[in-house]
Amino acid sequence: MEKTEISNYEYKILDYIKDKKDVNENSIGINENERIISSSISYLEFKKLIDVRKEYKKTYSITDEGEEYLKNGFPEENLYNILMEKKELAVNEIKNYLNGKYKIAMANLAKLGIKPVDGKLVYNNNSLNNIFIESKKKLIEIKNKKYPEEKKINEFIKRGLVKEKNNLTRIININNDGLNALKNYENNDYIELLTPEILASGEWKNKKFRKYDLNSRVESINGAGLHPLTYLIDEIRKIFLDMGFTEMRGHYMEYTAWNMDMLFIPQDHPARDLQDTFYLKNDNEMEFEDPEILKIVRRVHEKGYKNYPGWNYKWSEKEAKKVILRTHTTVNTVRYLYHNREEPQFVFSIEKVFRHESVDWKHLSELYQIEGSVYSKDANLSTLKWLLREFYSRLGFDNIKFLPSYYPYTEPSMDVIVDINGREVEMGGSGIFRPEVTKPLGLKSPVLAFGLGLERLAMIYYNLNDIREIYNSDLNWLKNYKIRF
Amino acid sequence: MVVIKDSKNNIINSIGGNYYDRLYDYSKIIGYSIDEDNELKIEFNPDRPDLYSFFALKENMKIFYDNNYRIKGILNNSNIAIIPDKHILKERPYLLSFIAEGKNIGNNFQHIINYQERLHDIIGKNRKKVSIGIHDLDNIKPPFKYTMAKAKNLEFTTYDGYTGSAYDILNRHEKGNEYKNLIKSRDSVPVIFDSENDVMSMPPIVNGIKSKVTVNTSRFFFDITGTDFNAVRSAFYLFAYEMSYIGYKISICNSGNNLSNIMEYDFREIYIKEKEIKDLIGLVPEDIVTPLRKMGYRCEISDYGYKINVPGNRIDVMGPVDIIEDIAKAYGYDNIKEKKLKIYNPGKPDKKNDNINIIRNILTSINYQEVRTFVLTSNEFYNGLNYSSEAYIENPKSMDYSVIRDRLYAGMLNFIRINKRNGLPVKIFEIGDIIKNGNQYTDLCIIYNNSKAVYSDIYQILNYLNSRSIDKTITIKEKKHEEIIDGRGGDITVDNNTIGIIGEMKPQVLSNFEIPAPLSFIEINLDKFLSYLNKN
Repeated sequence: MEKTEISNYEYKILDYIKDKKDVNENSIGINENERIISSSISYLEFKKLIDVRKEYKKTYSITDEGEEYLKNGFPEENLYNILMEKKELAVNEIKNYLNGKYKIAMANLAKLGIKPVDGKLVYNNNSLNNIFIESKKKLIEIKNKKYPEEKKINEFIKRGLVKEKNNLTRIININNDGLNALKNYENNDYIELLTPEILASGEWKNKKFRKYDLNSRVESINGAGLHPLTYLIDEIRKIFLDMGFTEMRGHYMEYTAWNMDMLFIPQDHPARDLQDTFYLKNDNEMEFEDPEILKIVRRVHEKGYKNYPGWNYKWSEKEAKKVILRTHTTVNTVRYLYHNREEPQFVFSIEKVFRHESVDWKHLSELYQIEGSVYSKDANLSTLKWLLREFYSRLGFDNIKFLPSYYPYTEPSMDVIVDINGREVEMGGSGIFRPEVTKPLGLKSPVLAFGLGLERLAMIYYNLNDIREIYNSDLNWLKNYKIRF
Repeated sequence: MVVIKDSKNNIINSIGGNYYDRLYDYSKIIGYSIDEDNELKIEFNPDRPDLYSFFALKENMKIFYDNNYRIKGILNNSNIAIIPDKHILKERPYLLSFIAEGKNIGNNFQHIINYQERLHDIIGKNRKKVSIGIHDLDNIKPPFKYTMAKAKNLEFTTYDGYTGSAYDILNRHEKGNEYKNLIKSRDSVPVIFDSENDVMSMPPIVNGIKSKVTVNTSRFFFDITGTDFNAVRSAFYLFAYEMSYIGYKISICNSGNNLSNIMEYDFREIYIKEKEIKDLIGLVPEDIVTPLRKMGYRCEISDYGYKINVPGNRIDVMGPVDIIEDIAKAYGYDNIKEKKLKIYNPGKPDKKNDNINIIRNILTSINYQEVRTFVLTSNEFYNGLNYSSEAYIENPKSMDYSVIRDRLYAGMLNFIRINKRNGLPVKIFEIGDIIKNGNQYTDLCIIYNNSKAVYSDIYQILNYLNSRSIDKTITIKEKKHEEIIDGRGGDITVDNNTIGIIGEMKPQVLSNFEIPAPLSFIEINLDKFLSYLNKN
């Protein structure tokens, strides 16, 4: 007959019960946790190395209501105490003292002999205090698993102060097969730990290796790795590079001329308000790149372009020379195209932009904007739709919708709606630059552009509830978050 | 974002159940969002103020769904005149006015008051550019006069019953106080009189009592005054169209302008060519005329292409692209066939970003965790340190995010503070942009924080980084730094050029950040470091 092999845990249990009779599984004195002992007993039973008898035992525990009575007194006790103080109480005024519990209090007090007479309860030196103290004592006993007489317990159960549970315990005894298995385990044919000495001596040739419990718990490893945004940024860079886009680089601080005026955003537009944009007190004179654009924007804003009338106002150079934290990376695109006018151009950047927002679980005042743009005679709504569908499907969104939208520098404009677990979420805007933006740049063909926020994507990918966790992260989480492949 | 809302019952009462149901469909054409719980709430993009009421939505749905196309503008001529004199030119030079005649305003009284406030806000920039006065025409006697008056001498009773001089009203009346700053001198104020010399209005502050509008008013006079001609014209057309949507007959009054010029703006002509449509949408719908008519334009085929007339309240329409967008909307964005974009060239990464990724790999390979902290930070982080960026935000939303970082380690010390519960050691690095003396750089900061962290722990890391990436040898020069313990750190140099700092952090800095264990760190200007990269 094949010898039945046992694990180290199973060995410990068999060893413990080998000289004992009717051992309760809860009283096995080996130094392992309950879960391991319980599962090892199940294995031993399965291997028929022990005989198992199941016993059911009633146990009792206190309900929340019972806990409350212990803390605040029984309702009838409280009513009795008030009665003792007031000497008599009108029935209809009782609820003022006991709010929700007055009915219970009156019913139980009636059982103890104090019943309303002529709509009144009257105190009569009843001396019920000992009864209450006794009841409480019994309740505490139950709580401590020292059970009083059944009658009292049943009374508590009826009142909903105590609940009953049937617990299973296994009583085990070792059998002959078990004793054999124990003997086999103990004979010296097994190697526990493979050591250089055993290897050198060749001792391993004549011995067997002791089997391990392959699923036993081990200590967790503390690794270190990349920030989740880094993975995400890299994934998106790859998508853009695969699709033939060139990566652009920009900077945080911009003159409003570049960030706003070049995009035909009028100087009194709400987006330029102090409530929307961070203005900088910059004591250093920042270099103004390509100052000739000032002339261009002045002409477009004041007089328009061809049959487009412009804003018809007096454009202010002072307003255009304010320094802000860029509100979008569309400014990267505009600057890039100004310097690279031969078509086609496919460009992108994944860089930070700034918003005048209070920081909370949903908002940040700095965000990565994913910006993509195409300058080509083929750039139009049909190709934009294709491009967005291709881009979003590579990001993992196969189900997207398009909705008309509005941005001051694109016409037409279109938002992208993605489906996230059946919920429609707006994720990204797009459009085709207005002629007042492209023509003064010297661009002859249309420019399409789209953008979306990286952090919102990260929240979806990494299942975050609070957007701040991306930056004020828990170090433990950073080391252990599930990487998205 | 502009929101209009009302209860379902009220909306159905004013526009009918049929159009109520269509609001959802129409939202996908126009691109507004719609939300219904106790009330129906519609949130608009800012480009379509002509739709900011349920009456306007109904009229436009009627045009769209029931082919009830617009044929002509809404303006008639009125023989009522309002005469501006030259004194107002310096104060509030632009004036337009119209009359609306029909039934008693009744239940819609509150609506027109709200609409007036909305225009004050979005077109008038809180009455600065435009303000609107609404009057009961039956109680006042034309012609009217728009002029300036001495604030101390002009006495009248406001619509809400306050009597006093204009000077008193500016200083004591609630509206006076709120808007008096919009009047330049305050010695003299703009005023509109009727021909009996009674005050109708003191723009942009308050109306007089004589012309007060009630639920029983059926003939209205609107004065629209302002400092910006375009804004005055926009408010004029938006309100005139809105009143016509509610069922009133609209007549423009003579207000001393070149009226034909104003009237031409309604149904102004714009021409578009088929090629322009093709270029922007990528296709030309078989029928262009119907979609345009559905969107409220008048449209005819002409020699040039298409001749389009734009209603006066479509103040967003500046040229062909705005109209072509409406063609696309009416055609349906969903119906536009997608066309593959021809891709011409291979993609080109930014080399610096690629190199930074390699640096990240080197550091994670020796068990350092990457973190990212905020670019915007707090002055508090510079407690005892010299902030050298000079890039302060003038209008911070909160002091916690009010300066741009000039180094990475400050944010990382804060990161360590909020992660104290996670125990030691802390081995972290960050690569990110900073602004120093007005210039943007990319920095690398590596921190080792442990109960026995010393200089050599971090010096080891620097040497490893050195050996894996650049051929030149890094040398440390002892130098005093505000954050480094004297003699335990200094400058990181290559070829005698300083590229960063290294050392043990001073206890004072640690205690400012409530960090209980010692910490050694390096912060390198990565732009300089990468310039020495091994490029063989």
